[in-house]
Amino acid sequence: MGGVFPRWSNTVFWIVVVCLGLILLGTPAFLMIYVRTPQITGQFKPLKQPVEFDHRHHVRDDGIQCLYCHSLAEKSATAGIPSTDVCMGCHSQIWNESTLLEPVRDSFFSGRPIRWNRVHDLPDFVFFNHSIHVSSGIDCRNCHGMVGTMARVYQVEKLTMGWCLDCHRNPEQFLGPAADQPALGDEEAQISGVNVRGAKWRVIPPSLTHGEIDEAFVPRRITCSACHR
Amino acid sequence: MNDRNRDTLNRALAGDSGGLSRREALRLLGASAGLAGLGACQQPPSKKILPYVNRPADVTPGMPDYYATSMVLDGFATGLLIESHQGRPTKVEGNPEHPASLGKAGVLEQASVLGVYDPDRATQISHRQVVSSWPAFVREVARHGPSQGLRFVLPPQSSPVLADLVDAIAGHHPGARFVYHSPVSRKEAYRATQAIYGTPLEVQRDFSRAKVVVSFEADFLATMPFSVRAAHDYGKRRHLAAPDGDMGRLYVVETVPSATGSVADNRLRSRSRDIWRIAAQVVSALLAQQAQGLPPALARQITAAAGSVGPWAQAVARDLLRYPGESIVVAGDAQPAATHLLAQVANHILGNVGKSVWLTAPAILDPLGDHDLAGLVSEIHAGAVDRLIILEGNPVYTAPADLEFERALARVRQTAHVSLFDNETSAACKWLVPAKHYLESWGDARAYDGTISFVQPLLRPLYAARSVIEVLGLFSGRAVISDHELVESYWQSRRPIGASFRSWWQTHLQRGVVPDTAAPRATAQATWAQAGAILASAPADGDSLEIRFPVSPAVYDGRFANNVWLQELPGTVTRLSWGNALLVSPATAKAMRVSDTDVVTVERAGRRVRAPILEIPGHADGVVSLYLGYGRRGSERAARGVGTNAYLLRTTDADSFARDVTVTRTGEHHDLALAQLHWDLHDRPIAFSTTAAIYRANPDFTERARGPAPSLLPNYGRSGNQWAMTIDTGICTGCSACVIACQAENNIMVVGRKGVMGGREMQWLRIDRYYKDPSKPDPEVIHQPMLCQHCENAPCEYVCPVNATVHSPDGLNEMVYNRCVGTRFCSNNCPYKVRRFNWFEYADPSIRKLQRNPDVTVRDRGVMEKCTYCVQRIRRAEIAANLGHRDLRPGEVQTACQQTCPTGAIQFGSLSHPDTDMVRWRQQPRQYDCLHEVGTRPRTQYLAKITNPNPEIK
Amino acid sequence: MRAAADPVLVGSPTDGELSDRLLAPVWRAGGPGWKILFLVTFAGTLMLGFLVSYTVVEGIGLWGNNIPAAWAFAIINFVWWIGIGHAGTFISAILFLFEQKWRTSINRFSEAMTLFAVMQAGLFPLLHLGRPWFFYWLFPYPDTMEVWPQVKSALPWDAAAVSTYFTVSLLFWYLGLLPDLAGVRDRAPGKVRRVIYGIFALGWRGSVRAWRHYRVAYLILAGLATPLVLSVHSVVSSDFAIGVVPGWHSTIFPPYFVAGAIFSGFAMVITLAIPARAALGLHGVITERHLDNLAKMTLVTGLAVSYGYICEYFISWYSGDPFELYQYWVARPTGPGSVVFYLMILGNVIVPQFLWSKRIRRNAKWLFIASILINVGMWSERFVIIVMSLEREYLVSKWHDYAPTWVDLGILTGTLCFFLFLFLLFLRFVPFISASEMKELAHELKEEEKAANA
Repeated sequence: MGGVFPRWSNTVFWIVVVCLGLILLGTPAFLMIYVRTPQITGQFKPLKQPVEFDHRHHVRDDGIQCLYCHSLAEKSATAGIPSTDVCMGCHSQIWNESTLLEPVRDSFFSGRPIRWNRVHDLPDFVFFNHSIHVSSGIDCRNCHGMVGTMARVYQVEKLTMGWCLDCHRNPEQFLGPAADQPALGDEEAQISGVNVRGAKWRVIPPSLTHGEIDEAFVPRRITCSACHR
Repeated sequence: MNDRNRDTLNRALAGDSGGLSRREALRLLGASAGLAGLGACQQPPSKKILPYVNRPADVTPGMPDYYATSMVLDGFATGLLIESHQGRPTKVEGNPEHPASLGKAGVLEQASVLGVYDPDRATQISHRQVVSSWPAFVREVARHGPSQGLRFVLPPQSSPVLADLVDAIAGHHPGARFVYHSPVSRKEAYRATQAIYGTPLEVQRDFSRAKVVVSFEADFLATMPFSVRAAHDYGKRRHLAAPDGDMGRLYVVETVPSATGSVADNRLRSRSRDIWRIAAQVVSALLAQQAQGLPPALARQITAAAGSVGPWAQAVARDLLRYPGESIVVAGDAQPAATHLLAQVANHILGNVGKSVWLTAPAILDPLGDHDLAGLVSEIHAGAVDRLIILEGNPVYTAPADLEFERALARVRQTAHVSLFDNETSAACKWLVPAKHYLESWGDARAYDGTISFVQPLLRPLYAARSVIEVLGLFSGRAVISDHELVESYWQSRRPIGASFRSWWQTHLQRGVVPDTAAPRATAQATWAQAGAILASAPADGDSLEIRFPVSPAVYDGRFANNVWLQELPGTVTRLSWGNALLVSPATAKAMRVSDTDVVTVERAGRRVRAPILEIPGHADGVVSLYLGYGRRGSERAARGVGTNAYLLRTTDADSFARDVTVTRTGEHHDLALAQLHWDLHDRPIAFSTTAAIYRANPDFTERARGPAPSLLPNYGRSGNQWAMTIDTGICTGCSACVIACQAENNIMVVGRKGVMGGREMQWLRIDRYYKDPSKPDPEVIHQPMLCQHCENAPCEYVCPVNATVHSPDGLNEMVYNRCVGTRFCSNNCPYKVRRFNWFEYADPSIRKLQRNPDVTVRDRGVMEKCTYCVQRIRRAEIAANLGHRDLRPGEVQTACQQTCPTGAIQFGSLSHPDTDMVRWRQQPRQYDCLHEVGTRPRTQYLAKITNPNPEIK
Repeated sequence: MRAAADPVLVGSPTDGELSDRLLAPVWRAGGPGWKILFLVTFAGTLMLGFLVSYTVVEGIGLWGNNIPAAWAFAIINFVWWIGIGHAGTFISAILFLFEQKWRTSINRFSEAMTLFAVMQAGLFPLLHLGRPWFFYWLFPYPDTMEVWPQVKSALPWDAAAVSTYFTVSLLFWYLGLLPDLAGVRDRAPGKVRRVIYGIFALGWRGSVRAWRHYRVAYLILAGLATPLVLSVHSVVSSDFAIGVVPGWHSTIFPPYFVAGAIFSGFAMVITLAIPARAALGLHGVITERHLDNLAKMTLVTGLAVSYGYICEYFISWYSGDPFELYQYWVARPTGPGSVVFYLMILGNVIVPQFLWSKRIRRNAKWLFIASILINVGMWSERFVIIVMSLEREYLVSKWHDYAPTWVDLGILTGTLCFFLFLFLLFLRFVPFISASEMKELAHELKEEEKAANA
């Protein structure tokens, strides 16, 4: 039988065994890590937009609040991409010659909407409602990051269900602070200029315990039907 | 097999993608992607967002808006509120301000929203099947000057604007005639009132105050005009708050079991042609007691006609006389004038007239139908008609068979059909002008009681469609203008003095109704002029087999036959969907030696149709009946070839029932898509009912089915809002409006005939029908709306391997579609079998998808679904309350079924709001839990059905 | 000395003879009969493949399932196949631990049977899902949704049990196979075969050291497999027992499912053994004694099953629960498809009684027929329990009958073919009877003889 297999076949055998083991354990492990990478979650991918809109300029330099343009965030499920007339509200007066704004003027006069690219996209079976979050004192930045510092907006958070639950399980860590303090660190507020304090949200005293917050402010925060209907 | 399914689906959901669709292929790829954990949550951000260019001030993306309008059926308007998502009507609700609705809506109203998105709608103006254009049609109309031979056929109308146009046209085309045709004729009722008062009048009734109601084949709770309002009043009157409460009494004499008949305290089965005689007996029994106010001659005639008065009539008469002025006697539209006359005589004798019953001028034009189809056809054959314009309706299909209307049409030089669909009539006409759906049109109409309401469009016409008044406008000799201008200009000229038109117009458009425009009570005195003649014209008896043509509670006269929701809606008493059947009583079936699914040939006067048999307990003996509205052969794909066309047996002299029918078996069989196959309770604690007397004596007769069931599990915590539902089976008529409302609200797909036969129907809410004692010839019917019971100890929850169905802190049994892998263990373990499974990809890819509610997930293939207590409405209300920094108010959240239920049998709310009906009801002694002993602790609880039969009637 | 009168091994062959007789089939080309069967079953396997993909593409609506009968053929087949597997493990593990000599000549192929049966069974839990591509949600792993399987449900345990069972059976079977693979390697004509078998033999040399380890390992696996015989089907039975469905909700289920499983398993062993030994002329090593013992095991387990039925009926009567009374006393004997119910009684209660007779136990023909009937009976039992219970549940309004579609029937036939297909391959390419153990047995018997003579 020695005739059939050379000596080194033993080594080969062991190598094969080890590899098989690694594949068996490695594949699931790899997949579990992979689905958490930006590759899959779609984080940190600045998207090109039909209009070279720069949030840094509008938010940081001009200090325009989020809710000025995304005004529905307080009222409706969707925060709303501003309609063209909102842009033209200013840009009929200023920069009304700028070539950068050509698509906007074109849309306004032709009546054809601007085809923006969606940056934050939740699956269709998730019913996220902006108004309740904003009015419960969630700062825009908790989910959208420092949009005021982005040239092209990109998704900062994972937006996985687990990520939602992290907050829904311990909302007190993310809810808006007492009215007399800035939402986030001062200079951050300076930089981004975003402060949804304009929103008439309910201010939640940090003194409240988990249970009290649950009862009083964020009912059923981890009920499936809160998001899936 | 697959092809079979596909065929079904194709027929049912016009235009399902056959074979391996893109979706399926992607799913297979998805399987591998799913392995990478993508299945659940993530997709690369690729989609586009298109914001408004100028956002309309009143539109908030993501929030629905509500607009008032009205749906007009054979001339009578029902006020509605339409839920619209960014200009997309998705759901119909009743308009609380409208007298015909009071916030409720019936089956047809609820289903109408799907009609506007019907993929089979006529889309283009065509001439001789060739695509043409509106200008071409206008030219065509203008080409001929004023003519004698101009005729219009249209459904009954009550619209002031249209009336105005009719006059204008009469002015412009002397000799033009209008034929108001509906297969569901109410002429007999008007003939009766004319015979009594000298002029045709509408009988108005107030069921909210009637102690005794006697109905002679009047289905006033479901299919008659104003039935939603009647049901609303009846429900209020009828709900029994305590064992010793007063619930009044309802007598029904009828041929085919109807919604109204199923809630009667005493029901008498009779052939249609004998019902007037029973009425006569009741009246003569009344006359025996008191006869003043009635011409002696007439009284004698009635007594003579009645013959010997049976004990039933005697008892009813005695009961009626106990409550003078507080009773209502009503006759059905299908009954001959004699019955209506006798009913009104009874009302006079009992002094009801002016109290529970009063008279008004009819809301509709030409109530007596001076010009009818028969006249028109003879005119045509006389060559007196050169232009025939058919506005809506489908006379070729619905006209009495002996008129051979289609043949007559061919003889007219110029024919045009304004129609939603390219149907039988369109095919026989030279021009087809697509009609606007009412959700696309401007208009106005009167309710049954005369109240004026407006029709305003929710969206631009989807196709090159025109409304009836626009087309009529062309003939009025005025400038061609839109229906909007027509309506607005008309009302501008008639606005109330002083008021600024704009504000008046705006407010009333917004409210959808012009208050205080109900017709005033007529002062006409009863002269009984031709009463004798009418009575003499009553049908003779004799014992030949009779056939009755009831209007279908689902597809009405056939005009809604292409509405897949209505096709799939199980009949109130038949539980039959996707088609009709020849209904017979078990006794008659035995006599004819036929049984369910036997295909028989029904022959009458040389005309014959084939239909399957369906035995219905409670059906009158010696009669067969066949619902109208099926056996369509137009281009509507869902309706085409479904069921049997009963119109083929209908003739001018017999349009609601006929005699001398022969039924012969063919030996063939046809499977029936029955949604329920077993209705014997087997003494199981499922549904309870008893008589008022027994209930008074023993209020705790449901004891074994109530109270906390023993359980090892801890009690369910009750903090905050705890959602629950209470259903009074005593006032549920089985009308099924709730079923359609649920279907519209929750994006429930249809599965087609094969699907229903295979036990795969998807409706989350079904109405189970049980017979208390099926062996009896006329067993008591119990309607039990059955939906997810939201059990506190839910058997479905602990068997789900992936936590896809779980309990929420506010007492909801949640179903998470996107987590469901479809093991179906939950359904096996559900004692109520209220869970539905997506066996195939049922999502309808056609334009119907525009109706879908964006707040509810469209379920994928292979997932379980079920009633959620309209959780999307609960969460929306919670968010609204939260934004307003307040708690939910009692009654703030309404489920779709509760909102539309005409009798208010369904009550929903939070247990933390003690002073709501929902909570009060479940404290009544007749409350019970379905299958209480299984220990599921359902949140949906029922009130036993209590009937109040007349003890004198054995 | 029964052994002498009634041998578990005819004559006293030398090791060489045994090796020749038992390993020969491996390089003897399959006869025409084998070829035909092979082609037939291969066709059936292809059909199975087609129907499975058809179902995955179109949806399980292709099956006859409905509401109320949301479970039907898929689950029936699953339970039936996994049950069949049990006898193999029982024979190879439990009888091994009890040192039953007669097990030796049948354990190899009954293990194979287990393996192949579990492969069939394993197909269904996956296939019957509405969305099979999410099957992995039944296993606990840290996903991005932070949702875990629900341990209160029997199904995640099911998934775990079946996969464990498959793994253990595979290892057990393969380990037992090693020495013979080596034997084939050494005797095989032609280099190709030597290499192939050599690879699978994992370099077995049969050194004493190897044998010692081998024995320990085999013993451990037998120890591991033994509890599985009891646990797997107990878990499967709780798929039903934890339900509230009248006809499911019963504490007798675990023991009586296990008994049923072993019952059907032995029947299947008989069904396979009789033709196999005839075809390969192995009457010497699979003797009447084996058939007799198998038949006895079948009889015993059959009686246990009957006892289960009696309990069910007694409890339904004793509890007085109207729903159960209806289910057991009306729906099953007189309801839709009651034929299946009577098939079950015939196969599982009546047929085993014939096995009291020694003549039938030792008559290959009759035994074969009986075993077939029992297999049918056990399949019917699962149909009765699953489908009939669902057809007549609590709510009268939702009583609805069930009828399989051609896809259902096709898949069932397909798995039968696939099973036989694998078994034919096994007969052809793997020593069908454990030669090494037979040699060992032969020696033992010689020793015994000596002892007897001395």
